[in-house]
Amino acid sequence: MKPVTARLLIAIDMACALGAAAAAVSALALAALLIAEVIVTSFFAWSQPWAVEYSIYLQAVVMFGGAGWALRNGGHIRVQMGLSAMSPLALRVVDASVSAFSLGIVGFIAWALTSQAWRTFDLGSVSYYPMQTPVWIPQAALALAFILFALALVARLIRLGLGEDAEIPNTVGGTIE
Amino acid sequence: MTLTLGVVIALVIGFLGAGIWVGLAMLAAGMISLELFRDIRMDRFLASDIWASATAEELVTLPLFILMGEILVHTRISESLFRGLAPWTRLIPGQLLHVNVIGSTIFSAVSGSSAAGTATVGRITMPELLSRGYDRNIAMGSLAGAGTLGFLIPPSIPMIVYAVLADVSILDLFMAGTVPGLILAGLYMGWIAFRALSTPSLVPAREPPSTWRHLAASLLMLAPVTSLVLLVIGSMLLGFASITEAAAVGVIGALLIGLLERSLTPHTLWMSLLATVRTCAMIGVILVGALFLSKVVARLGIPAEVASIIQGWGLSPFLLIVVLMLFYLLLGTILDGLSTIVMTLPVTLPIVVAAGFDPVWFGVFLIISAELSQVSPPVGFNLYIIQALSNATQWEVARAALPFCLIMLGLTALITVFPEIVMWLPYQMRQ
Amino acid sequence: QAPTRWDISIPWGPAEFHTVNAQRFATEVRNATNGAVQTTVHAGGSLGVRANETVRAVGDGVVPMAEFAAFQNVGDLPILGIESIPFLISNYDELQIMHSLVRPIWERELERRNQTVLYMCPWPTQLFYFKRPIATAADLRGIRMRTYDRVTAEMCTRLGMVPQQLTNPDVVPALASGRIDAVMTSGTTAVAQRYWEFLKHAYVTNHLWATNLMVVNNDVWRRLPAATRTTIADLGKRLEPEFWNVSKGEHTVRMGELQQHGMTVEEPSPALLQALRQATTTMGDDFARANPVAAPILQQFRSRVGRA
Ligand code: NA
Ligand code: NA
Repeated sequence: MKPVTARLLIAIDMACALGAAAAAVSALALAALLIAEVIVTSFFAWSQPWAVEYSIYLQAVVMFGGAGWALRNGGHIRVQMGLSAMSPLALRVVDASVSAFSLGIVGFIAWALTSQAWRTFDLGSVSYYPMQTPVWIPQAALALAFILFALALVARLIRLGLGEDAEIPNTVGGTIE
Repeated sequence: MTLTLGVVIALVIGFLGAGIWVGLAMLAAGMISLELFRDIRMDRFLASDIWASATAEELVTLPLFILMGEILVHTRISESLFRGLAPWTRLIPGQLLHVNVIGSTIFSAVSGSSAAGTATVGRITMPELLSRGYDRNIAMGSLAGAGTLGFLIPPSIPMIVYAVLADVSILDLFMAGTVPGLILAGLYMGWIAFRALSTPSLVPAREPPSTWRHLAASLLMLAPVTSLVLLVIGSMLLGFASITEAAAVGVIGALLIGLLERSLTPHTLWMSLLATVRTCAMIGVILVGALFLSKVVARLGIPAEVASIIQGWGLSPFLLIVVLMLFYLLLGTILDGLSTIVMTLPVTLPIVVAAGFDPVWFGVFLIISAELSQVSPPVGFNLYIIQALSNATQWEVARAALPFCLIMLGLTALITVFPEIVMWLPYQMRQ
Repeated sequence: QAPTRWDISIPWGPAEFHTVNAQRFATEVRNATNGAVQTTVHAGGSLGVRANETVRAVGDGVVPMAEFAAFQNVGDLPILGIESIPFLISNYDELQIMHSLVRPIWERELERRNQTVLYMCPWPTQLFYFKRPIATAADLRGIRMRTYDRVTAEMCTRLGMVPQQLTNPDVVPALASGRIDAVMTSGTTAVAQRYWEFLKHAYVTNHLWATNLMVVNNDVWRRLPAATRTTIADLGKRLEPEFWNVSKGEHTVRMGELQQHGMTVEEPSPALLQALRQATTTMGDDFARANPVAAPILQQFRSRVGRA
C-alpha cells in the first residue's frame, strides 16, 4: 500500500472513531441532562429551558455520530443470501458494487444535509424552543455524521480494492458475534 | 396506484436482496420512487425528513433504554437476573424461555416504544438463553412477539398519537390496551409451554431441584433489577419523571446498581457507551430509511387510495374488519407501525365508525396491526434488531416470529368477536 | 392537459376544524378550476413536515402547500410572533385590526421566503386550565404549567408559575401523573386532548392569539396560468370570512363540551386579569425592541383600539 493511501485510511478511521466518541459522550450527556431535569422540576421548582431542545439534538448525535465507525466494525445490517456459495473474488466484486452504490446514496444524503444546514445558516433560522438556538449548528452536526458515514464507505471501497479486510471484528459488544 | 405500490415494493426487495444495508435500501427505494413518480425537490424533502426524524421528540427514550440495557449487560447485572430466575422457572414447561415474554411485559409498562423494548430485553436475554442451550428459533420468535407489547401496554407512543388524531381519550385507550396486552402475553407463554412439552429438545435439561438456601439466594440476585424496574415505574407514576425522563432514570439507576455492586468501572462504562453507539447507529440508519419510505408512500397517495377502494366495496362490518386487517398487513410489510396509523386514519376511521365500531376499539385493533408491521418482512423494524442480536438472517428471524404473528392475528379475531375484551376495563374505570 | 396535483401538509388531526376548512378549500379549488388543480390534504403531520419548520419547508419546495400557525414559525420569521404578545389583543375584532396592519408585512416577508398566502384563520380564544380554582395572582405561584416556546415560558415565569418543558407525547401522561399541574391552549385542543380528565378549572384568559396561514410555494404557484392563480386567490379571499366564523363558533361549542364534561369555565376575576396584564406589560416593548418593524404597528394598533 502506498504511504499516502495508508495515511488516508488512518485519517478516515480516526475521524469515524471521533464521531463515535462524540456519540458516546452525547449518550451520557443526554442521561445527565434529563436526570438533572427530574431533579430540578421535582425539588427546585424550576425547569431547564433547554431540556427538550438539547435532548433531541443529543439524540441525533447518539443515533448517527457513530454511523461511519459502525460500518468499519460490522454494526450495520444487511440481507446476505447466497453469498457463501461465491468465490472470494466474486464476493469482493459484489461487496465493492454494493459499497459503491451505498456511497452514492450516503454521499447524496450528506450533500443534501450539508446544503440544508448551509441554507439554514444563510437564512439565520433559530429554533422555536425557548433557547432559540441557531438551527444550523445541530443540522451541521447531522450533516457531518453522514459525511463520516460516506468517508467510511470510501475507505471500505479502497480496502476492498486493495484486497484488505473491509471490516474488523467487533470488540465493544452491542450484538452477539 | 397499483403500479406505484408495485414499484416501491420491488425496489425495496431488490435493494435488500442485492445486499444493500437495510436503511440505505429503503432510502434508495424512496428516493428513486419519488424521482420516478413525483415532480418535487427530492433532495430537500429528503434532507428535511432525515432532520425531522433524527430529532423527533418521540425517539429520546430509545438511546437511553439501549444504554440502560448495555450497562446491565456490561456490569453483569443481567447475568445475575438469569441466575436468580432459573430456579423459579424450572418447573414451568419452557423454563427460562418465558423470560422474554415476562421481561417484555414488564418493560412495556416502562417504555412507549417497541423497538426500545426489543433491543433492551433482547440484549439481556438473548446471550443468556443461547449460552444456556435454548433453541434459537423460539428464543428469537418469542422476543419478536413479546417485544411489540410495548405498543399495547401503556404507556404507548402510537396510542397517544392515535388518541389525538381520532379524538378519543388517551386514558381510555391505555386502559383498553391493557387487557388484550396481558392476554397476548399469556397466549405467548402458553405457546412456549406447548412447544417445550411437544419438543423437549428446544429446552436444556432441567436444573437440579433447588434448596431453600438456593431460592433465598436467588431472590437476592433478583433484587437489583427488580428495584430498577420499580424505580423507573415509580418515578413515572409518582410524577417525578415524564415518560421520556423515566428512561434517564433507568440509566442512572443501572449506573448506581453497578457502583453498589462494584462492577461499574470507567472501562465497563465506556464499553457500554460504545456498544450503545453501535446499536443506535444500526437502528438510526434503518429508522430514517423506514420513516422516509413511509412519507414517500404517503406522497404517492397509496394508503388513501387503497382505503377509498375498500370503502367503495360496501362490506358488512365483519368483512370490513377482515379486509382492513389484510390491508394493514400489506401496508405493514413496507411501512413502520406509527406511519400506517397516521397515514390511513383519516380514511379508515370514518368507515369503521360508520360500520358501528367504537373508535377506542379500533385504536386497539390498529395498535395490534402496527405491532404486526414491526415484525413482518421485508421491512420489519424489530426483525432487524433481533437479527443484529442473534446473528441470524432476517428471513430466519421472520420465520421464527411467524407463530407469534399468527397468535397476534388470533388476538385480533378474538377482540373482533368479543369486543368486551377491549372495552371492559375502560368501562369499569368510568363507573 | 394533465391536472396539477399538490399535497397539502397539515400538522393537526383530521377532525380539527382547520383541517376541515382545508378540505373544503381543496374541494372548492378543484371545482373552481374544473379539476385543473387537485390538492390532497395530509392531516396529522403525516408528510413529516414539522409544525414549527413549515415556512422553511414550503419555501424550499419540500411540500407545495401547507398550513402553519404563525407563532410556531417565529424561528424563521420573528414578526410572525406579533399577535402572541401576551394580553395585547382582546378579541376577534381587535385581531382583525392587527391583521390589517401586519398582514402586508407578513405577506411581503413570506414572499421573500418563496411562498404566497392563500388564506388566514385564527385559533379560538385561549384559556388556562388548572386542577384547582385560581382566584388571585397569588394562587398561581409555584404552579407547574406546560409551556412550548420562549413567549409562553417567559409569561409563566413573570406570573410566578414554573414553566415546564415537555415533549408533545409527554403532556397527557404528565398531567395524569402530576408531573405538571396546568396547561394553556384553545378550547379546540382542550377537547381534542380531553383535558377534563385531569383538569377541572378553565379560565378564558385570552392571553395570546394564534393564526394559521395556508401558503403555497411560489415555484409551483407561478407555474399555473395567471387566470387560475386569480381564481384560487379569490377563492381564498371569499372563504376566509367563513373560516373565521367557524373559528368563532368553535369557541362556543368547545366551551359547552368542556362544561358538559364537568369542567368549570369562567372569566378570570378582574383583579386577576389586572395582575396578569401588569406582569406581562413590558413584553410588547421587548418584542418591538427585538423586531424594529413591529414598533410602528404596535403603536398604530394601540391607538386604533384605544389603549395607547
Ligand atoms: Na408500553
Ligand atoms: Na413490516
